[in-house]
Amino acid sequence: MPTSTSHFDYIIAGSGTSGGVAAWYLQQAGARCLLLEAGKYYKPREDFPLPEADYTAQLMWGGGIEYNTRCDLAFIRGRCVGGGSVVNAALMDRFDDVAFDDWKAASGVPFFSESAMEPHYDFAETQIALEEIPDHHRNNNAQLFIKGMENCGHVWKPLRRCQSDCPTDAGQDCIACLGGCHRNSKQSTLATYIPKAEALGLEVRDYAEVTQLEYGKDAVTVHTPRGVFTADKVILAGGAFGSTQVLLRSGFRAKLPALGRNFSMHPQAMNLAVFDEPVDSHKGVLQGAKSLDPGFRKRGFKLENVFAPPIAIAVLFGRVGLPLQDFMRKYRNLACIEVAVRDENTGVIDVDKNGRLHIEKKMTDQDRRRMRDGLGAVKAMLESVGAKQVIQCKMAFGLHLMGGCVMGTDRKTSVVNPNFEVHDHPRLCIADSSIFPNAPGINPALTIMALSHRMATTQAAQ
Amino acid sequence: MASRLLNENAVKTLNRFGDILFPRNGEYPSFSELGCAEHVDDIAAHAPAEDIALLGSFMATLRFAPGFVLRGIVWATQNADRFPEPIGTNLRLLDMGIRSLTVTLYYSGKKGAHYTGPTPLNVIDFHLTIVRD
Repeated sequence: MPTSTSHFDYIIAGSGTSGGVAAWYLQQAGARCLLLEAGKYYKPREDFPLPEADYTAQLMWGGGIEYNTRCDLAFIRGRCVGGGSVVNAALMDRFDDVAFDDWKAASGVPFFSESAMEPHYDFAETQIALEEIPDHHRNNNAQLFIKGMENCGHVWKPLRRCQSDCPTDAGQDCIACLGGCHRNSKQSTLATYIPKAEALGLEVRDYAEVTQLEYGKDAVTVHTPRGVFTADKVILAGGAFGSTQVLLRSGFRAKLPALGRNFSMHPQAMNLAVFDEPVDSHKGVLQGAKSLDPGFRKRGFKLENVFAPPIAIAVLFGRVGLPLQDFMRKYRNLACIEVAVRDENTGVIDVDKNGRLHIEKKMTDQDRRRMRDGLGAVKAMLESVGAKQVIQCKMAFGLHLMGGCVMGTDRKTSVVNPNFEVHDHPRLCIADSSIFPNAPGINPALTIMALSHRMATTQAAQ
Repeated sequence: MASRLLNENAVKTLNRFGDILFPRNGEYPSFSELGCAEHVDDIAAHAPAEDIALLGSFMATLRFAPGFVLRGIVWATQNADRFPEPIGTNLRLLDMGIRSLTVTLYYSGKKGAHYTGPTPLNVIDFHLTIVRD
């Protein structure tokens, strides 16, 4: 085994929801770990850029947004230490047996069940502060959502966020935290797992995108712009795009026929409603309530109250010129409900000869039907609470990028085995959203943490 | 302020496209009047370099194109779904290149060194409260 200072027990490639958990658990178990991140290491409370234009450009891949090859679906993913956990809405849900049963059926993996995953969820939940948004903290947008749900006879539930000591009563507008939380209130891995692991000796390198892996008999060699490192094992934690891209760039396609397959993304569409009076959806708590309607779950979509800062709203609106300017004058009078579809995993992640991502993803007939059903429900809700106009944004986008390295027992149809190891490559492990066998239709962050904990405990036991 | 990433011709075309997408309209300044293109590098520096180079070349070649050509391009990008593939895909790509950049600059709160009027964020009355310790 190499013993140079650049050799580690584990290299973790990606510092988001999966990588942060894995780094901390393995470091505290006594392993020597290196955490690599393609983006910048922003010190909390100091460096996060505040204007939307700046944080979107600096904290997201692609300078803000990426697209499928047809350029009709958009993807957003974090690129900084903490990854997606820094730029997401911090919503934390456990999966239900509907999701796990579908995973088990697709993968043959026996531990995909609420009961088998319970200890891992329990662990993940003890490491972060979780708060259900109470009634008095819901902003006008959330109140309209709830009223609309009740008017239409749908079941709703308060959203649960990972946050601590968020000064909502003092007027904090947490929409700003989409560009990184300036107070460490949001329980990103940057604010929780990573500093704890660093205190135990974890080494972190930013601007260190993994460009290639070399899988050897005794070690794995990792190439980055910050140097070449080796480790006994490498944990890929770059999410559906990042982890898949590294394996594709490193020549694993021929060995892993399922690599890049089964991509899904929970296509989301924003529905904006214009009201006579200001709603101020950008003030206070960004998200407060979600649908928990069994009928919606069966029909394959979910709803959440949500909003976005001006640039995102203007881009999503789609039109230009006077119609856009006049629409944006009504920004303070807008409410918004998002439809997220539990989509079919028919997408394909590939790379071109330069290693750049090519994402083939189309909405299937079923996806479009589910989206239409969701949009219909939203329109009825918004009209029931007095909306003067309901506008559906043209472009659907994905924040939950899943698949590409799916877990399963059959090496022809999967990339990772139930021990989280890449088939026939036990020095490579993955526990991020790329291993999802299909779209769960539920916010994935907490389950990524739980899976990463399961993977890390398995590794530590070895 | 000169851009390091787009040449002078490209920035001029960016302003021309910007004025089609964001004309002067009541309190709203036009894109070029606002001067936000002075900050194009703040945004473009973080996008893939090859994408920015391609967009810059496209913009530079249109420096002396008549206005109706630019308006025609904007119309086509706004109606990309009416075109057969792969033209539609390329128009959508162009739409996102031009529109994302101009929208981002226009609603960024940034302005040129010589502009003294309200920014578009002022016009829509957008303010955020960040509570520090």
